Amino acid sequence: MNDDQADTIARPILETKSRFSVIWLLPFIAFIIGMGMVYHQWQNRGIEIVLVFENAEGLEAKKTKVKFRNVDIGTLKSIRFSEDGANVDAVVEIDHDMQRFLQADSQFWVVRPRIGSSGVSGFGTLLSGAYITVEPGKSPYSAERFVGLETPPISSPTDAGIKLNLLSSGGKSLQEGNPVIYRGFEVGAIETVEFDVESRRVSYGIFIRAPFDSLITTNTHFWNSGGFSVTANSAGLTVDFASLESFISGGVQFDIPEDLELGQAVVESRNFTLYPNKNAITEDRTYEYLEYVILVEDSVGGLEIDAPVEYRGIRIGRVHRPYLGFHQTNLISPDENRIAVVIHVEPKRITQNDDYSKEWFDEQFRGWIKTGLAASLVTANYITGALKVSLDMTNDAVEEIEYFGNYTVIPSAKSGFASILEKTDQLLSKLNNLPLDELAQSTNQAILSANTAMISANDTVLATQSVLESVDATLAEARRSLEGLQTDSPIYQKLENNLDELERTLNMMQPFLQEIRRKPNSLIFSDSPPPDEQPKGKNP
Amino acid sequence: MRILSHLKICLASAAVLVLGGCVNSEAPPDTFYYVLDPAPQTYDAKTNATPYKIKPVVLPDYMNQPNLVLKLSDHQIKITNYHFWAADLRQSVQSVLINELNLINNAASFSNNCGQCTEISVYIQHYYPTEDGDVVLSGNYQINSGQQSQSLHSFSLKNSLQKGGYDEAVAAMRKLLDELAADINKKL
Repeated sequence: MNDDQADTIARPILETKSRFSVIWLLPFIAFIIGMGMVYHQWQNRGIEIVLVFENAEGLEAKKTKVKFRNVDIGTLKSIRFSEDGANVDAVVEIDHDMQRFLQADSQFWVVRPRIGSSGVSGFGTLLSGAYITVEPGKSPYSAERFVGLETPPISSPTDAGIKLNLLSSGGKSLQEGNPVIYRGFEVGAIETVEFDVESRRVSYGIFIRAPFDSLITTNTHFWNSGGFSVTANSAGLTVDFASLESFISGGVQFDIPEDLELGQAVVESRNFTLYPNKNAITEDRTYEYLEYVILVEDSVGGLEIDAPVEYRGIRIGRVHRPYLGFHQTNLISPDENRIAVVIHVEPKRITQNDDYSKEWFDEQFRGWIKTGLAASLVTANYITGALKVSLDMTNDAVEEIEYFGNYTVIPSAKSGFASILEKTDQLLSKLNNLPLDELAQSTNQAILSANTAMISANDTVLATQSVLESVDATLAEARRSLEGLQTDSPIYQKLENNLDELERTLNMMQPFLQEIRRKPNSLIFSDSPPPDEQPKGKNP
Repeated sequence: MRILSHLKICLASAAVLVLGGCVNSEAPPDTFYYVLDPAPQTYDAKTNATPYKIKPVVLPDYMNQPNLVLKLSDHQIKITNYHFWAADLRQSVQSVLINELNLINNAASFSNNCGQCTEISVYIQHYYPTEDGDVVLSGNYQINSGQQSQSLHSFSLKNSLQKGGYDEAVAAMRKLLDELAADINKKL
């Protein structure tokens, strides 16, 4: 190769090559996308909350859904025991955009089939399985741990209405879900039932939904409407029960007694007394009272606290203390051997008119005592032997009103043995005054009349005898008729033939019945039996 | 519409096939009825004859039905499906005995009902053809002419079939009743 040739040979062009290949953009972009997906997933991840239940009946991890109005808003992730082992913690993942259902007062419970006094619920979960449902609250704060309810709530925090507390000292027990009824219309239900050990009373939390909550006023009275009441009066027998549900499982009714005014509306939760029945509202209501004492010479056995105090059958008060007590009696009057019964006279029972004040009634009572008002213990119930206090006017006017300590004494009318003795005396004196001679003559005349009546009765006996003879003849005729049923009679023969026929028919039925018993479907699917086997001959 | 009509035809065919399964195409064998008295019999009027009452015959339970019975072995019987008594067997036996006794005894009159008369009670224990070609009639009868005079007699009669079959068996059973009537007549 010469120099010319060497000049003509192209020289390689040396270019500096980029050290970063475009191909490396692909993994980079993939990384960016991947990171974006991770971020999106992180951004939209669910909110984990814990629901505490007493047990996990019907719950399955990764299967049980959390629903609100039948829309899935989350899934149960896992179930574990609580730290103390007394409950189960259900860990639930709520969808990210459903956070608004997690207010601190939201309520969660498991929907599963339930049969109770209020009916059957959750029937659909027999096929679909149990699920958790939520009732959102209205608290401004959210929470991540909730105590689940074991039964569906009667009301949700967002429901409009009023919650009240009814305190009951007795009567038929009620259950959660029992209805609250106003004049036959169900307006709410019992939410909670608790027994307060200290006060020894049952506390029922009830919810009355709007707009019926406006019916509740300060004068509203509640009573237990379980079962039914029977009232007998001049109009007949009246059986009353609020509703079929309350008749079976109990319930609460409320109303304002007719003798009370409407009262002020109740807008906040407060306590009311739950009376055992409607009559108890009138009987057991708290009234203003005037306190008096009756000094009783007889026994007070059968006289209970709150026993009625009546004036000629009209209830005007109650017995406050059937026996004042030894100590107090001794303090007032050590020599007093009569029993001091303290009664409360409640004027408001007989009038709601404010024109008659308590003091006015007290003055009236003092005046009536001076003119002869007296009290006695009479039997209120002949089966139980319970007593009541009966006030009435007597002819025994007093000049000065007696006092027992600070108590005004209503004079005790003679009762019991003393009364019997007095009445016996009166009877004897009346007997003394009887015109016995005239009575003897009248008796003679009466005996003569009786003799005449006896003669008449003798005639009647004779007539009766002839009737008996007639009856005897009838019996003889009947005997002759019955002779027709003897064994040789045609009727007997006919009867015997009919019985034979019946027996024969039954015998004919036997193979058929045996076949039916052996093969019940032989009536429809019957193969003909094979031909009968013939008796063989000796010389065929 | 065409699919609907095809569906109807299919359903109808299926119904015919299903119901056809319930139909038994095979005709059952003929049914035969038998009487003990082959022909009416008469006897001369009786005057001053001693009255006797033949009480209703007592049969074992398995014969209180219209089906004829075939004895297969010592302790096994077969109740037939196609061979029946035309009349009640108890009444038939009673009637045959009354007729036969009236025929063979002119000095006495036999009936199923009379007032104060001697009563004859017949208790049949076996009365059937056997698979081997024999016809059996056994049991006992009681002649009761009052509380002071009662007598109990047993009988066991047997006959053989020549050709076999129920026709001949019923005829043989009838002859056994004749023999029983003759036996009763001897004891009166």
